Amino acid sequence: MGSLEAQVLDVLWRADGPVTPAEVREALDADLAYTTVMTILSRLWQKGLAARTKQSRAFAYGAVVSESDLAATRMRAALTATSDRTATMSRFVDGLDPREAAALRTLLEEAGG
Amino acid sequence: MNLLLVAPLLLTFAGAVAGLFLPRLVSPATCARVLTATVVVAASAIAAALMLVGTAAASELSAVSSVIGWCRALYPGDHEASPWAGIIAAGILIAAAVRGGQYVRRVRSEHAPYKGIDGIEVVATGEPIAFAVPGRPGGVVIGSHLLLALEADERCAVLAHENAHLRHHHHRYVHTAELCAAVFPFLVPQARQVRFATERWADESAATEIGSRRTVARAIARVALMSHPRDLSPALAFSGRGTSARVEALLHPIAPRRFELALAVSVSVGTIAATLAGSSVQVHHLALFLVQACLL
Repeated sequence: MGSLEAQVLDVLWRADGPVTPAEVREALDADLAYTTVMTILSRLWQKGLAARTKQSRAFAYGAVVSESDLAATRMRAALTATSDRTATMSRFVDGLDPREAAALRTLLEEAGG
Repeated sequence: MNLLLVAPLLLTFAGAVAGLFLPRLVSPATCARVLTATVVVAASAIAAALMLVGTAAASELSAVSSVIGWCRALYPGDHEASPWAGIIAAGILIAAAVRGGQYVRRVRSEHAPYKGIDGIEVVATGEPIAFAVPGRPGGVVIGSHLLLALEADERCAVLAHENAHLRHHHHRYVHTAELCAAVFPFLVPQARQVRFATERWADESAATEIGSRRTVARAIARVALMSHPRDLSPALAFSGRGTSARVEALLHPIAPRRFELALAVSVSVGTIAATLAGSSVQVHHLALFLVQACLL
């Protein structure tokens, strides 16, 4: 399920606005059942990774864009994470060395950010 | 015997030197594998050498020599281990075992809250945090602030990077090397190189998956700049400096050069082979010791 979540998120993050499960299913490379796509979308909503709005009879899903989107979802309350409690994990970035900040800003400009 | 004890140290040093230029010559995946193997071989060689000193010194004691006198017989006329050397060796081994146990407990306690994680989970935190949690099935944890602050393509890059860690089982390399470094702290620089190599590996993997090195580079730089410089503990200083090296490597990839590559590979392979040969002699002695011990 994990990698399917990533694929569906990819669709949501790249879409211009909220999309219906049918549209998500069409955009995916994998040939998934409609109910599977529904299940993944509702899991993503429960986890706080997707926002949803009622459109006529079905829900349309979109990327979370604000704190209120997140607050509307049911994130797993038990989960917490701080940098000093995750030192043995493979983290995306391990923190910032003050001496490195200037170099990173220059590189960021170069990377088009 | 002295040569046998000095050899592992010399070879560990050679391995560390090879580790310094290896990242520029081979792919991050090869680099992670070779460096992990080097760290494991070095730690094993040191452990074997310490055990040899310990048993040799013990055999000098009259009370013990009657029991493990075979050790004296193995090195006729070349036996000069002092009891002090044996006590120091035993002390280092005990301290090493304690530190190894501490590392294992630390990994367990840090992973415990995420047991049973499946897919992607958001945690409510202002810290720009994102990490992979290995396991069955395993998953990725992303901080809410990070999720909201990034552009869509940058989010995809973060996710692709963390998924690469899971897909290629990077925790195996990192935890193996860090366990060796916890046991013998002089291996810490090499364990850091292993961690850095897995990060580079995941970066390259993500760049291929989303089809843009630039986007991955931008995501790394932006997330790094989100974290407050104060967040960085001294122990993490190296990895913090590694961040700009990762961005740099994505923006300006360098093609491996053949001659230096051949040199690096032969030095690494030679180091591992020689250390294995050196430590196998000691392990052979150790095996004799264990046989004797079992016969008691």
